[in-house]
Amino acid sequence: MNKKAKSLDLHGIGCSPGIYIGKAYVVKKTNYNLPRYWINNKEITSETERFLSALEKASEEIEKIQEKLCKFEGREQINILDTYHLILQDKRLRENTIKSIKEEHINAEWALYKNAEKIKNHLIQHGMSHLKERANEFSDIQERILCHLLGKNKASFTNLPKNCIVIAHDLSPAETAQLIKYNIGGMIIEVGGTTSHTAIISRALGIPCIVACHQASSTLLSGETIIIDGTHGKVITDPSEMLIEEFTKQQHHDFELKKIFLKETHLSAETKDHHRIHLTANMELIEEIQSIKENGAEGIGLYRSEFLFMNQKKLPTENELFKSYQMILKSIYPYTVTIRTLDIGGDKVLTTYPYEKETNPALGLRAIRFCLKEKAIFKIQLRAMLRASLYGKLKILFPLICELEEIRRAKEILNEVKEELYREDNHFDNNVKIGVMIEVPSSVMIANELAQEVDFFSIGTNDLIQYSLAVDRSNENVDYLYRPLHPAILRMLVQTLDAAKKHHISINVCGEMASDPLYILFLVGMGFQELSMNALSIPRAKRMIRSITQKQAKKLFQTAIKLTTASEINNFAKSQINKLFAKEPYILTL
Amino acid sequence: MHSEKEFILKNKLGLHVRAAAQLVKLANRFSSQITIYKGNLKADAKSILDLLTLAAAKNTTIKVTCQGSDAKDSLNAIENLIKNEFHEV
Repeated sequence: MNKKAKSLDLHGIGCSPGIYIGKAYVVKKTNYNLPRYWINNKEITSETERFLSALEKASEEIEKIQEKLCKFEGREQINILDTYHLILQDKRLRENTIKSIKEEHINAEWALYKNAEKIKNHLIQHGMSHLKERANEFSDIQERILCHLLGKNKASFTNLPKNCIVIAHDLSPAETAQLIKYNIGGMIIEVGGTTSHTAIISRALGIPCIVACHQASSTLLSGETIIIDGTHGKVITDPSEMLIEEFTKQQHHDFELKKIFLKETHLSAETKDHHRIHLTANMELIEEIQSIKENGAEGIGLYRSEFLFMNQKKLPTENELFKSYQMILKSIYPYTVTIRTLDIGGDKVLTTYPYEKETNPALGLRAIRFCLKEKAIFKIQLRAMLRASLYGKLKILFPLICELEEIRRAKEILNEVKEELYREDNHFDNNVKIGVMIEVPSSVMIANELAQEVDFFSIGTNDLIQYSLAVDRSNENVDYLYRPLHPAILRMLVQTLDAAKKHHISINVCGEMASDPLYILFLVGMGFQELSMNALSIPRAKRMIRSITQKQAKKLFQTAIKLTTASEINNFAKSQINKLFAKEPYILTL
Repeated sequence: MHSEKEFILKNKLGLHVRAAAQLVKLANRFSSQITIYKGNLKADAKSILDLLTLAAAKNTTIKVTCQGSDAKDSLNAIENLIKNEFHEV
């Protein structure tokens, strides 16, 4: 292997497997709503200085990257960087921008934008064909300067080239959702953990993704060819032809393995001693339906419905929602679709809703709390769901319930909606099952009471772990504390399961925990009969379940629950799985 | 002092980014004002953005004018660069 190339590699946590070779696209934090304002005579000097200092900072930034590169002879990148430097020093951009500040009395951001756009358009219109591509690089520079003028802001994805590998410091769920409208080959994020939203979405879409990849966005350059290895959490920069060939081979190999798994998708997830487990899919985007069916899911166990609300200029209408729900229900029939009502707030916000800044959004106005406050929005969604219920099998799930009154209030509103529909002579299925998400410790403690209010439970392990262990899963400093096999979590799962059994209601696990090969056997051993996970994990889960007995799984879990620390349980799980699947080591990596 | 000369661009891509970058770097070493003409269009040789908008492809005729105390030296240097086809490999 090429040593020089190796020393430039970046490492992170692989959170969506697979290999992709493509061009990097570094997302700079820029602002859509460019600040535009007029300045007075006295401010001209300070505004000019602000602009010049931003230019200087951008130059320094490029220099830093360049220094790093020189050591490894990344000639192509150095050439690009040279050009960046020349543009940053260029008289035309510099002088025209300062002239605009002085003569038009406008702020630096506006002046920069005006002149940069002028130059860019000129390049596009008059430049030679291959120069047009340079307009992208020029945009990158423009963004870098703007970034220094503004400090932090929203990411912009205009100019996103097709099949690129997106690199960013962090992406909000809203930004990720916006991003996936484009065809992208992979994602590299500097912060976050394996259960962050970017990770979940990239797994859902089958795009390789690496999180906690420090300094990726300052080290990598838009336009350079890189290899992302989402299985091992590795980014290879400046790859040699040999490496590209090697990874292309690996890519094919993975693809072949997947095909083998996919051949078994029509078989049921049944243990050797004939315990039937239902594997359903988690869904965020309607685009995933195809993959959900291909991977052999028996319905949708969790449809995160907020994605139809995010990144919209205005709220979706009842009819728009109805049409989407109808389509989903129809395509999944004869299986069931569980729609979770809006889980807005926390890190997912509506662009259409005037949010107050919360100091602690995870504990703030979100999910059912938001819906109970914004009853009108909630009702629109419930109406659309009920109307769609005639076109398939629907279940409604209410998130973040932490006390009885909340579920009772939600049920009241649901009944109001039903009344209204009756009166309007709108038809719907009156037997739609309703359930609560068990995702805060308090709901576990009152599971017996909750079970008497609803038809089913769905355990959202991601949030349950976050709230129980008081750990933000996207904070890289405490990420290590996020441990699904913490004895407290296992005991809560058992307690919830017992309550469900006692009151004869159904129960499933729908967090990321359900898809991890390390945890699946324990969940089966505990006695769960339905697991909902991202569609891509289903074939593997099925293979695992089909190769063990329920008795084996039960025994494993009984040993594990007696252990007292998360590490002990984790090590035990690993050793057992390695033993059980010694002949299929890829089961843990794929 | 004023010097000027016409050249035909013989390198493969003409005055593309890398070539333009080389030209800017070279021009910046001199104090003279250096201007590149392509027909009616003119560009400051010390501005990469200016040069790029000239869109001078292969076989384009360009005129280089240098105005200043080191006009002659700068023209010689630029002539060298163009004749060496911008050191393209």
